[in-house]
Amino acid sequence: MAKILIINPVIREDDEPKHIPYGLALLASIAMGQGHLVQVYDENAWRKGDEVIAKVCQADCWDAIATGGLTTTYRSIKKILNICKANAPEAFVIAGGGFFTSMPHEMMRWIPEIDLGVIGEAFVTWPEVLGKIDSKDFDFSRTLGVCYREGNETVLTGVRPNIKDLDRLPYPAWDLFPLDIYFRNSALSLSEVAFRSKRRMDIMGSLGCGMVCKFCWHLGTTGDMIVDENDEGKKDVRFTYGRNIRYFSPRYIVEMVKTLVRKYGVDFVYFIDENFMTMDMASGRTWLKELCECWIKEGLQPMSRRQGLPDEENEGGVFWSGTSHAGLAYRDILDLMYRAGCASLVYGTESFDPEILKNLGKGVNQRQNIDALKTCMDSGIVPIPNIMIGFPEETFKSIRTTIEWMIKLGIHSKPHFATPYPGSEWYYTYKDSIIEQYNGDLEAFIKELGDAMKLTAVISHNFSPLQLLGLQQIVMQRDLRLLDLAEKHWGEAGTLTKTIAEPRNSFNIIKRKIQAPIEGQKERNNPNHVNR
Amino acid sequence: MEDNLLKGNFEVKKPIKLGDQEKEKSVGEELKKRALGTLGGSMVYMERKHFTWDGDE
Repeated sequence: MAKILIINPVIREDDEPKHIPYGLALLASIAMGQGHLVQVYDENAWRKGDEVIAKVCQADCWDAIATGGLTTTYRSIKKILNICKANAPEAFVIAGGGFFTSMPHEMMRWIPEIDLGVIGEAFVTWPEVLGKIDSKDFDFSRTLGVCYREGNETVLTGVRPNIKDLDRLPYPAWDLFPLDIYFRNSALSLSEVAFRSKRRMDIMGSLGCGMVCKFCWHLGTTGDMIVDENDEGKKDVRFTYGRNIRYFSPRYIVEMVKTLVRKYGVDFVYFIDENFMTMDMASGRTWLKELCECWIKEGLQPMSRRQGLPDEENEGGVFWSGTSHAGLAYRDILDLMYRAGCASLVYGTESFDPEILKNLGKGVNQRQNIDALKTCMDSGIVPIPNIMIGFPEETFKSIRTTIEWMIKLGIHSKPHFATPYPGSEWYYTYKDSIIEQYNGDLEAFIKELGDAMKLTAVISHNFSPLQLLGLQQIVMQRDLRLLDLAEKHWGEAGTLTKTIAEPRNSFNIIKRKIQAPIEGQKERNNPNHVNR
Repeated sequence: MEDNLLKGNFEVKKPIKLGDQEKEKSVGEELKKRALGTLGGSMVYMERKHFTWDGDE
């Protein structure tokens, strides 16, 4: 069987490693389940640097070295793969995940060490690729969901259909990661119970989100991606409003958490789902209810919630948290979630300005944003409202509205900057402007991307980088006096200044629903114009 | 503390133990990380090795 080295790249260099990489752990588990020989080196956890990565590459004769992650890991991945190829030149290098899926051809060009890239969902593609490597078959022209090299060209195959039943997936191979390091960083500042956590682990309950927020992207894993020929006749990825939303059964999730309690003594689990609460709606309001009931029935409910005691007095059980949506804050389900141990919910509040919300694709208005936070707080669950500034339509008026509501609702936030991450509608809409802002060097932009606290490319039609940096500070200070003063000394873009960001249409984004393939779907419905 | 930097379902030919490596970052690296994370006001950090001015001007 193939001998595989999986390397987890560094994410958020300035922060402690807090999250076991769920995707890589799952792929390691799938590979072992197929009988392959697998080793994991977690550079994000260890952070031992280049020399140790080189030693890792020399530790054995690897048939394949694999890595992957979000776009924000790009810098780390590029460096790691450079070291890999120099120290294990015979190994076949595979990359995948969001960083690759959003721009496969560019990634193959920028990282020449990559032999094969996997796009979108890898649950089926990954073991198929490993099987081929094991049998020394390096012809990937008939393998769905990959990008391979052919001479100086890079070739993309068709989209791999999503699997239909998530419950068939094995548990991630947690044991292959340095859990002590992650447990040391268990505490999260999201709520009092999360802050006290000593043994937190992440789990995934679902894949997908039905919303079409312009800043967001679904990694090509949720029925949001097709492959089509562009104007030059080259196959490329296209992202759409189509979705294949799937969730694990409540029984699967609860059994997994029971395993985590038994094996590792976890006291807190963090649902890394793209949007946990939207599954309530996607399931016809059954899934979350069943999950909470099963959680309680199987004894995972924290004792404090069962007995109505303060959480400070809790002993036993598992608290949890996840992501939510302001349009789905129903008191009945929030009450049940609280009883089951839900400690906090992250809301993508983004802004309180009605016009910005209207243009954002979130499907919420100002009133819903306000009410959701109150309803959530009333249920006992701590809401975490994320705030963002620098929207294309941002004005002093919209910033003022957001600050006023932050004051009224008691929100303290250093806001994210609206950032056009690759794959998002914003990215394709402003790609030309981004390239111009980086003097023609798109890779320089990708290298800079972090978690949007740092200003990278500007997509605001009205504000310059200088102004946005100042506005971030003013929002953080919730200082309306400074905001008024700033507005008095500001020149409208197009008069005194030039607009930095200008929208355009793009081949890579289709602003309508197109059904991407899923297992069991009839071929005639498949929109991918690809050779099979 | 776990000792093996590589973890998997077989024994590699050349195991890499934590003890064989530079176990901890130097005080200088730790200080730099902490200082950069708390920049502001009188909290300033100056690079130790990236001093490019040669004193000619």
